[in-house]
Amino acid sequence: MNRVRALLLTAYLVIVVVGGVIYVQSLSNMVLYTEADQKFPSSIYVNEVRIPRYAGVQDYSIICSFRFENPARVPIRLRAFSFEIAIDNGAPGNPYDEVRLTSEKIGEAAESLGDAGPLIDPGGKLIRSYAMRVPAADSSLMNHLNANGNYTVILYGLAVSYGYSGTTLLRQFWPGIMTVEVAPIG
Amino acid sequence: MAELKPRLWAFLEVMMYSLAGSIPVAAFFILAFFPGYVPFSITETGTILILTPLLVGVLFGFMLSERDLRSVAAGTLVIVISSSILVTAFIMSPILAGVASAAPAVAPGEVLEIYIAQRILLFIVLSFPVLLLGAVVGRALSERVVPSEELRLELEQLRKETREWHELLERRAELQRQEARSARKEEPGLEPKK
Repeated sequence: MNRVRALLLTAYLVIVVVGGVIYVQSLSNMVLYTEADQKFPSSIYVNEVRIPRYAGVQDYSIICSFRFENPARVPIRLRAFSFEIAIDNGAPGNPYDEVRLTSEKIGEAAESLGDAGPLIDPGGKLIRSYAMRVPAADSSLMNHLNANGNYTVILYGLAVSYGYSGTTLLRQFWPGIMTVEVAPIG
Repeated sequence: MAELKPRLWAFLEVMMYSLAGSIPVAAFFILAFFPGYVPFSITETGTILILTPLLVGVLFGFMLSERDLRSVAAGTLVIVISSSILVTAFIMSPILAGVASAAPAVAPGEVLEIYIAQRILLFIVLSFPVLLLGAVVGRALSERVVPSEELRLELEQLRKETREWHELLERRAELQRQEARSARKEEPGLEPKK
């Protein structure tokens, strides 16, 4: 075989192999990311909500932790997360009414992690805790216990932004309102 | 049967190079249009879209230096068709793999078939002319750089015939010179006195 022809054949094969690797990787990513996009939004749970009172401290504290589970086969990077928190005042009517929630709002938390966000391995879970203080001035918002003597904590306005390791792909979803009954401590 | 064998080989060769060539063409189209699914990111999508089919086309044309131009053009068409199938398979892969009921690339409210048809049409419009141009240029260059066996034999035969003609002409010229010399010797003024 002519030397030039052999060289060109090698170049052609190199391009084919490189293209093949890119194609297979892209195809695999397309399937795995789509699977993750289908499963991940329904795998976010409220791990724990605590409302501790400390002796001598007028302000209330609310500690809220979320559990992000990864049921997919590809690592997921949490890039941003935000939510708002309210305590139901027990008034009749729709407890999830936007205006009502605004009037019951205790606070909000948001974090933007970007590329430095934690990676959730396949089958793994990540727990993120957020603490917020309710100033004594707003303590009237905390004076609403339900019939069981517990707080009805409403977590709403949740927004999750996530991506995948090594790609620029960015996904976002907005989980629905979550309600947790929390016993007062202290 | 014996006549069919080389034609079958030629067909298989064109098909093999075409199918192989369709892989990088489809991969680089995906790289340009679906960058989020590729393990690395690029910024020069336009360059990728033009250069890859051109490069693949030129090399494809080179590879088919022993085939005629019609085979090269047909091979280019095969590259475009099989690349389109690969791009379609990529878009539909989540549905084919059973992980989703709709392709994630397709926005809600958009019809999958229309989305795919648009992308494939765009792909054909962008890649086919460049691919064909590259293949024709590659094929033309190959005649200079790597001439086909048939062309090489033809050239050798031509050179051989030319050499033979030269030798014949030289021999003839030599004969004419010899004849001229003997004719001068035979002239009366030059004849030796008896």
